Amino acid sequence: MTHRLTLHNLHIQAGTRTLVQGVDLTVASGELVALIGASGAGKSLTGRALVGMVPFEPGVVDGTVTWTRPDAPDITVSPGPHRTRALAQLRGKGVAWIPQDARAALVPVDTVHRQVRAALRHAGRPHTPAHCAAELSAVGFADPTTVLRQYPHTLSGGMARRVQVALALALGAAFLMADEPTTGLDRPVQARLLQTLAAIRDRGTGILLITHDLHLVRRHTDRLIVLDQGKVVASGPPSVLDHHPHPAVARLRGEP
Amino acid sequence: MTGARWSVAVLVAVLLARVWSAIGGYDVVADVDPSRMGLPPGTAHWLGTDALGRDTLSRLIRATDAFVLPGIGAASLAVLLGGLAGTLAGWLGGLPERAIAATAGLPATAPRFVLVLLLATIFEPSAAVLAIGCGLAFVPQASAEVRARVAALRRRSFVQASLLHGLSVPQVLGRHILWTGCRHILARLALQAAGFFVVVETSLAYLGDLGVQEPLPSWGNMVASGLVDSRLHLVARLAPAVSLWLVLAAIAQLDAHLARSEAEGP
Amino acid sequence: MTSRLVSAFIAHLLTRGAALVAAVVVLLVLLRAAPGDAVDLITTDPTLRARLAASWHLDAPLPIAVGQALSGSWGTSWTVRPGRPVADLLTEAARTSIPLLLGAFLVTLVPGSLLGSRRRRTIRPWPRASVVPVFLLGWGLIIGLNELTFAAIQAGHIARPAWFSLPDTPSAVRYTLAVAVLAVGSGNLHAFSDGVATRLAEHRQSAAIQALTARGMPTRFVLWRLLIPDLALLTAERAAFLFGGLVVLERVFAMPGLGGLFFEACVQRDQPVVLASGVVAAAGVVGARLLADSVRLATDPRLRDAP
Repeated sequence: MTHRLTLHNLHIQAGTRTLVQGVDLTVASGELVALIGASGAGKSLTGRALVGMVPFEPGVVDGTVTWTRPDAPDITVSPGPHRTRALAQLRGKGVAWIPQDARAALVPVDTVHRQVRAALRHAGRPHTPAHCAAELSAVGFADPTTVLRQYPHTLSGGMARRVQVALALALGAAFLMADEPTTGLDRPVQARLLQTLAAIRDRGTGILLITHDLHLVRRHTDRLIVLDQGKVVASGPPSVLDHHPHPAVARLRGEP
Repeated sequence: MTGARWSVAVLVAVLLARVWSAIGGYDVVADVDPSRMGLPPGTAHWLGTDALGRDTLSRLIRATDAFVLPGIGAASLAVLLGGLAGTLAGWLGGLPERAIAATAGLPATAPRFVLVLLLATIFEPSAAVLAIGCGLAFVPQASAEVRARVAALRRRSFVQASLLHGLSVPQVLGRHILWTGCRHILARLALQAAGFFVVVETSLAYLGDLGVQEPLPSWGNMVASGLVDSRLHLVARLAPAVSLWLVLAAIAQLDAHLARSEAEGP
Repeated sequence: MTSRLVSAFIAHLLTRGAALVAAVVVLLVLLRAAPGDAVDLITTDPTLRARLAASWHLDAPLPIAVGQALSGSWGTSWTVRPGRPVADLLTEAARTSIPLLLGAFLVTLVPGSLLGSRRRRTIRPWPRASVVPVFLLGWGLIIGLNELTFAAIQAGHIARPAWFSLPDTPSAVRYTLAVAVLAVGSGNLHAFSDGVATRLAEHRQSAAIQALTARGMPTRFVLWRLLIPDLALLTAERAAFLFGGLVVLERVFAMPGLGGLFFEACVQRDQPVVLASGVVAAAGVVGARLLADSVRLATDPRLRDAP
């Protein structure tokens, strides 16, 4: 069951400034694609544009997001009259966004259990306590019942991020989009999180990973797309970066 | 901003009326003339006359005696006492902060109007006591707002830098903290305290017994006498109500304007 | 987790309780420090004075007086209803006032929240319209109703109704009008709708709501649940305004409630009733705050762990 998510010719403007220009990318089921660039390169914005969450005007002035599904018609989000309806179908079911500040993005007054259950119920899936615990186990929690009882403010950064991944999976989305998932985590925790994401990729979900840390993702990614100042400057398997001449890629490698 | 300018104009008009009342020589007793009762607005009496033939406009102006100076007194008390308490609490921190905050917060345990009435009963329902009561009623809020701002600004680097450069604590407090950070909220609290005094004074005058008594006019007792006396012209009955509403609306408008300009920043 | 909730609640209870006790102490100190002797207002006969002073516990030491004030032994009224126990007077008056207060609270909570939750704030003259004090609103209402009814009678549209002037209006109508006047005149309706609008806008911008929207999940119920602690806080802040407005309201509408009783006692210098009313008012404010604290503790888990 192969899904495909295609972004074509994305153009984002804030007022008169162009922030993202002509960006194309593709993710397929069972692929882990990394969107890499320095801070301010436009990668978070691109991710936001995929789910229609660009917060300023005029925002996305051009660009099409297409979700190709095996046994249902394509969903296409483009500027125009049908955008809202298409977005409603894409969000959560096609693409589940995992925001950067994981803990702040959890509802502060609800337990983890309540939030997981809400996600399962929204997706029309069984939401008994056992199912909620299973969702948490699937992202690597050793003791899901304790975590279910917690409120977001008592979770550590790494735990909150895992809960966000669990919520995204609970929605049954075809694609996960993780925005800087390793920021603020210790190295071992980062590595474990990436292993979890890789395992999710192996189970068939497509993952778009937005990050600035090149070395961390080399091991698990299938393809990389490098963004610099809002434009794609390189793309391909990880090896394509090793001797790439573009200065932005060199900077990412750690060279001055 | 037209809203703020309109409000300032109204308040300036009130202050001018107070000055006019002091120098105009209007005699509340001598003005009684039953032959002129209930006249409609005209050249001699711009707002008509009341049931005893007294000129409504003159009484409106004289009524400002009841609330302008005491209102300013209440506002000053709230700002000075609350500002002092808040500054000390915010600057010193620790136990002194908690102690000052608890003491300054005491008047807030009673409803404001009840507090003022309690003081008026214990001592006397004079303008001074009412003003002190209204001022005290706003001390908790003033102290809390100033304390929060002072405590937040105390830790900022530009304050620390100024102290290291040799500026004394009062200078730093005065220029950087109180003027830059607190002047909006203090102005707003002064307005609110004065507005509250106006409401208290007019309410008590309306209800009788504890407020301004005849023959002295207050917008409150003028409103009350216009209640069922249909011998008065409509303008004479509505004039004190409209004046009161205008003043309160001006204060509220200025308050909102100051809140907006603080939020928008320099 | 429940024990954290309980200990946080007890901490709030103690803090609020201490504030109430401090307020009562200050009140008693002021009463005793006031110029002149309270009894002199009643009589100057020396033997009668001594008897009254003894029966009214005027010379009891301060701690005992504080204890009496807080526990409800307020003695008997001097002048408002001479000889009747103050506690009885207050209980009777409460029967009128409590429905008014509850009604005004509901009017501010429900319509206030609904008004504040409308996305487009089209009521722009609202701040100016809301500054009308209670007495002026009541006055306007009375005049308006009377003038309109009078005009209608004059024009021959209706016969003179039995309840022509407001103080004689039948109870249900009068109560409804009184509740409306209290809710608006105390500034609470405006404060609530403004507060709800501001907090709602903040919550809508929060990361949690944005995340839910990005996942296509519904946000309305979460928004209202996030708003509950804010509503509790607003209620506590505005309770004092409601009580203050009640005093004027009951006089204007001639209703025999706690506010009217307090005002009457102030005019006649009836010290036991004044003291008791002051204590009850402060207890009401403190009680409202404590109730709001409890609601917030119950609905916002972050508050239970903070110092």
